Amino acid sequence: MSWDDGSHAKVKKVQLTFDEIIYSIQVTYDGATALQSQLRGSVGPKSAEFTLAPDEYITALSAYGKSLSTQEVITALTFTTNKTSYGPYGTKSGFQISAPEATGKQISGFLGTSGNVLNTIDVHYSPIPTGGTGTGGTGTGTGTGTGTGTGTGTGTGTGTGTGTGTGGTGTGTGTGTGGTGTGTGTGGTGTGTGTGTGTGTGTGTGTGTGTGGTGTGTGTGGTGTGTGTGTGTGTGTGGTGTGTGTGTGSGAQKLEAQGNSTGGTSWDDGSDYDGVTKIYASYGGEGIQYVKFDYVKGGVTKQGVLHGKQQSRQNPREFVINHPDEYLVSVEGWYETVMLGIQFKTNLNTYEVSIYPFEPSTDTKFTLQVQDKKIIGFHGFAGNHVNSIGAYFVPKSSTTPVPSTPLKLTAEGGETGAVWDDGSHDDVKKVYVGQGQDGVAAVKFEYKNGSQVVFGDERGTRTLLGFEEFELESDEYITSVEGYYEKNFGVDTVVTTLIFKTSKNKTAGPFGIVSGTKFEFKKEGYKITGFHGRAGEYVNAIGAYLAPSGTTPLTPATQSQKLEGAGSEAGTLWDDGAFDGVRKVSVGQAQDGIGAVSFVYDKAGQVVEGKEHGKPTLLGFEEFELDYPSEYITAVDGTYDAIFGNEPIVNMLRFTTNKRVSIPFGIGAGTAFEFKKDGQKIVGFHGRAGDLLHKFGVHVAPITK
Amino acid sequence: QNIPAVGLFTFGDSNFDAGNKQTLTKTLLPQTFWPYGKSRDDPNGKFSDGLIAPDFLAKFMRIPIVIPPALQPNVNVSRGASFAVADATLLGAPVESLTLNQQVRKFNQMKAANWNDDFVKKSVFMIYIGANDYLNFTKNNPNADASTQQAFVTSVTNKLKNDISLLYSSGASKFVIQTLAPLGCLPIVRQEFNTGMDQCYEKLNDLAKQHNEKIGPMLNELARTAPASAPFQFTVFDFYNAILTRTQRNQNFRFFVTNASCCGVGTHDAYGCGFPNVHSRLCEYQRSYLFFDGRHNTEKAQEMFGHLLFGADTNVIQPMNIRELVVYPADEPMRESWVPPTSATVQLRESRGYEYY
Repeated sequence: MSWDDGSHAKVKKVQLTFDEIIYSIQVTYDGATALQSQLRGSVGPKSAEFTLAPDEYITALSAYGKSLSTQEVITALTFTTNKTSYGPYGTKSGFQISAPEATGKQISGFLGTSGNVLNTIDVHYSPIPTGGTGTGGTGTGTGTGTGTGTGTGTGTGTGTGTGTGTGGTGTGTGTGTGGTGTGTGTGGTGTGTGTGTGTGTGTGTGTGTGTGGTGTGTGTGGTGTGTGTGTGTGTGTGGTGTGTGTGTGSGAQKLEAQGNSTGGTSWDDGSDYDGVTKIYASYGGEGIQYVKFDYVKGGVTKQGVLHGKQQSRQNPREFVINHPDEYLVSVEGWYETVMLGIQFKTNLNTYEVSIYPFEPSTDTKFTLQVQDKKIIGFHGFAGNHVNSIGAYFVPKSSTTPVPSTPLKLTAEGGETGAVWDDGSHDDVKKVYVGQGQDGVAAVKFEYKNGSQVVFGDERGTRTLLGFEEFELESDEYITSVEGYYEKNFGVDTVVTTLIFKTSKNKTAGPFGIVSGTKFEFKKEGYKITGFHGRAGEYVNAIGAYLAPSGTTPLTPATQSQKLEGAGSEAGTLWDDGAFDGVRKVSVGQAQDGIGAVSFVYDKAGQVVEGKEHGKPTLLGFEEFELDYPSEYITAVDGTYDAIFGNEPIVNMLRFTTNKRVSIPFGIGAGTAFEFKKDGQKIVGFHGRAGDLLHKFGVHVAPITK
Repeated sequence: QNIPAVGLFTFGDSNFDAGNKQTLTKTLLPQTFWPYGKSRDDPNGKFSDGLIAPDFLAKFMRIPIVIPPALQPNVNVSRGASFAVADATLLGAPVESLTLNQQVRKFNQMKAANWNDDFVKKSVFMIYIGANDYLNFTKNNPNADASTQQAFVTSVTNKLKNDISLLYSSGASKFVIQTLAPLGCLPIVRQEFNTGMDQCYEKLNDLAKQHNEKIGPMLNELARTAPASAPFQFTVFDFYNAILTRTQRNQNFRFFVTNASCCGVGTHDAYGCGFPNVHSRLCEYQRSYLFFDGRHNTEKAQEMFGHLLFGADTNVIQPMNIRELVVYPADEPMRESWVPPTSATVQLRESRGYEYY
């Protein structure tokens, strides 16, 4: 085939493949934009390429060629420029095709023919822009860099700095060719220093490193004596920007260890915690033998290391701190050679390990405390005993509890039976209590987690008396649980009575006969979110989880609404609950109607896959995917019918969104229904299903922007 | 007799004070003056006419030197020491004295320089404390009701337990705890509360009884909870009944006067022995008296206590006497525990079986 690249401003780059003949040529031309020709020919065993300088032009091409039986081939190519020559590429054989050397002209394009190999080649000539060597434009690049600096607090922890720097200025140097100049600018390198301010006494210094923006320079080409004015385009790479580290002083304030550090080695638990949850200490006649702390970070408890020495003769003590409501505000201690007493003070309690009371004549007393701050870590010196102790402080407010971990209150009752634990949830939805001969035989709880309902297992062994139930309203929660337990003759200790009180001042129970030892789970500002305990034949013990009553905002009853479904009462109830929206609908057909449905919802940006309801058949599922969040379901209509005297089944469903209407899933027949509420969208589904879908209903919620 | 060379450490109040009190005050103390020390013609700060029970006990333990007051400088503490100080209490902060807790601290301060762990482990730690707590309590709360008394007894015994476990964690293994005397029968108490010659002040006796009831179970628990690698061994000397028996059946013990003191003034000659400007009466033959001054026993009685401590049966000291405690391997947990002394158990435990020496 023949080809022609045409004539261009100049040749920039030539790539060749060859061995004894030239297989291919590919040329890149310069211009406003660089153009690359197709590969002419096919790739051969060897390759070579050369790039011309901006002021270098191919002035002549020398070629050898020969005729084979099947085709003509080019055996060698030599390119001559105004500065040098490239080649020969290939092996000179056959006859020479001498391209005429035209003074003052450049080769500005190639043409020829090629198949598997290059068969012929010819050139376009154009004038060399002699006067057109313009002065390159000056490119100006402005980069904006954003840096993130890590500041190290001097003495007081670690500060993290986030900085924004201004990138360097790119300077483009354009070399105008003919009328067009090309500039390349290299951006400057910026350097910045971030300053982190550590909390407390420490000043953190952050050094930020940012990546600069990309600067674009525009150069004005020089004035050519020859033809026209060159316009240079500079591309400035922005400088490396620099972070201004505005150090968010997340660094904790470190108070030096107090005590007599001689004879001990240094220990440091660090300060990367939210709080202290447990204190362990032990003492002997000579002093405090060890301390150990459990910390919490993001809801996870981290066991500390024991500082000091465990001895066979010791008096261990443990103190639990109810993080996050309770936090350490100060540590007082006194020592002679080693620590003789430490008082840990929280906002609620004082925990003391005192061996010998402070003796002014021999002992030194100290206090670790910072106004409005709390302790989140410890350090110090220890050997055979605790020699000294210091602490890390952070502002009290900085601990605004992240999802506050629920409090687990110890189970009250007996020590027998298997341990059970439902865990903590958003709320308790329903309570079942079953009585037995000697007390509470079984309990069962339903919980809410978001809009999901979690069914707790049955704890204990239900008797013939069955369960008494008690369901909470959607905006109601359990504020307290009271009860009694008693050691019964011949059996183990069992819970005899349970009484539940709710936020709506309702009391459920007493379930059982009041007798034995009373217990109560209650905390001001908290609600009960879960249960645990022990159970066997009876409920032997019960405990509760508490969470602040404000943490999980209760869904106001008005926000989403459940519309009564249409269909029959066959099958079992299912209810996906209400979500933020629906992402996908899947409907599976069966012989006589809809066999199964399943939905994918969205809750706070999370994809929630709903369960399959009904029984899918070999026909599989048809899907209807929404363009969430811009698209939402506004209405669902369908039909249900009883076939051959069986329980009615839903046989068609059709979904209407704010943008379109889905196909009807199934063949409509029988009673029609529609779910639609003005100004509301459908955010969840419920119904009844067995082998087939018997009933279908929706949850609606107001359309929000 | 194969008695190991161990030490004797005493803690508590005036009963075991070997002369410590004088180191804590510049005031001249009566117990350092005649007629204290009358029998040996040596007033030395001990509350007796001569030796006190720990001196006899040390002798029976074949300790060749006198158990010195630990607070005095330049004394030989190689075989133990007395940390007891007159006026010592468990609770509060006694003036010019030490609480048991402070005595334990003193012991710990001196330990490293004087006694190694093995010696401490094998030595006997004898404690008699609490009398001053109850005497002060009764003086300050003469009308305390039963529950107040109970609460006070609990706080006293809790403190005692705390201090004993502190001594234990300091390395001590062998404890001898002496129950409180029938405090209401002390001549000074009878005199101050005007009970007459025949009556004791029962309110104080009650407090002492309540206190004493808690001692055995408390020590049983300490022994039970101690790890097998570091046993807690103890015995309880029924001092209460040792005094009461001598008071009630004085003739059998050759005491002619048990309700009044040998030295002092007042209805029971109970106050002021050894004080300057007090015209104390002094009995001519102190060995026929149970009490030398208002609340401390004569050397004759102390010698008896020494014998009871060292070698008596379980109806006096249980689960074992000090002779047995000293030879009991320090690394073995005790196999017996303290049993509440009912008449039945006393009879059951009468037989001690054979012993070979």
